Amino acid sequence: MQEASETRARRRIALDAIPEMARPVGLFGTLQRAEVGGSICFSAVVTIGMYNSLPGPGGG
Amino acid sequence: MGPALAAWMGDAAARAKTRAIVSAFARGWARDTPLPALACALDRLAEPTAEEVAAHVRPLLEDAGWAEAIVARLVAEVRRDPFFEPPLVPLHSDVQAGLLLYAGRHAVIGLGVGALDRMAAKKRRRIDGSIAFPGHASLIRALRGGGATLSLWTGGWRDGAPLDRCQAAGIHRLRDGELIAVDGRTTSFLVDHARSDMLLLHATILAGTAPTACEYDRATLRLTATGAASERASRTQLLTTLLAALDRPDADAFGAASRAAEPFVRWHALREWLALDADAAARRLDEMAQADPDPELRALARTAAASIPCPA
Repeated sequence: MQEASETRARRRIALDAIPEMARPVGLFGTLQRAEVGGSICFSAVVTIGMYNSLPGPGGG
Repeated sequence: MGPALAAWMGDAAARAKTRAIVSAFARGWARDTPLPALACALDRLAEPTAEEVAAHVRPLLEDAGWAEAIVARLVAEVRRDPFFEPPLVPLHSDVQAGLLLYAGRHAVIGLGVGALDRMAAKKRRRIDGSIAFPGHASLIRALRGGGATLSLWTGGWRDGAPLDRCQAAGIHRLRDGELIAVDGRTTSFLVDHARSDMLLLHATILAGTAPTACEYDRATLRLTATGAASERASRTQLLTTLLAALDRPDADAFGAASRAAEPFVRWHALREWLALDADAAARRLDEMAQADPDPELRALARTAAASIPCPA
């Protein structure tokens, strides 16, 4: 079964030909225009996300 | 390099003394704070709601003497040894500097100073400001409230979709010692004014997040942008795009990603899968067209199914 799926010809479709959702959603931590408050700029989460994305102790 | 640092760098005994102070601080962490006990309690929760996690976290913010003790200890250690650095992850944003006290699957707790000068500088820069709803609940204990005046807002997610506009919901004067709960899925705040720096003990509840964070224009109050409310959602999107870029049509990975909790992650994964291997993704596309809980995704899947040519 695995072999069959590997040997069959794959049919590709241009990504642009597939509809997108009406409202795009940015990646985590990309809302940066906020004024002081909103608990985003005081939040540890964005920083943690960046920290965890780094190689080394606690990251990776 | 200044002379004091040069002397410390050249003095092995001084460096060893600093390391001993840092080690003692780390050993005291388990003994002097309730955070290890919190970690045990939260780790036992499999898939908790935000309210269940908050019930465990709230007592630590209500009785925050341990956090005050940490601040006092940090100040004392730095006075004792200017090269002391706490064994904690530093947290920095454009308005605060702080330390990460706890990071688990269900909650993150940080201690930070909201600096008045940085807040003022940010306000001066922002002509086109916005009001952000992060999509997760927070508990904030204002150890020092800074005489801050907060404007409160409602918006974010309601009935399965982000509201098109947010609304003002009053003014709140933050008192020293006050504990406020901000459900960032539906409420937010701005610091309108402050008289001094704020010292905040801040718990972010990672359970039960809204699908996205929402950002509203400050002038028109209209929704201007949405962003993933969890790092996991964005990682899933990036990894499915990476699989596509590497030409790896891994059916298990794409199938799992197309069943993520967030509709935008499900659709992102399915688009990448269709582009890479339309026939392998066809069954999942059909499932989504028939039964996805999100009406927009059902419609998109039907449109895609109709527009994709049948195999030769």
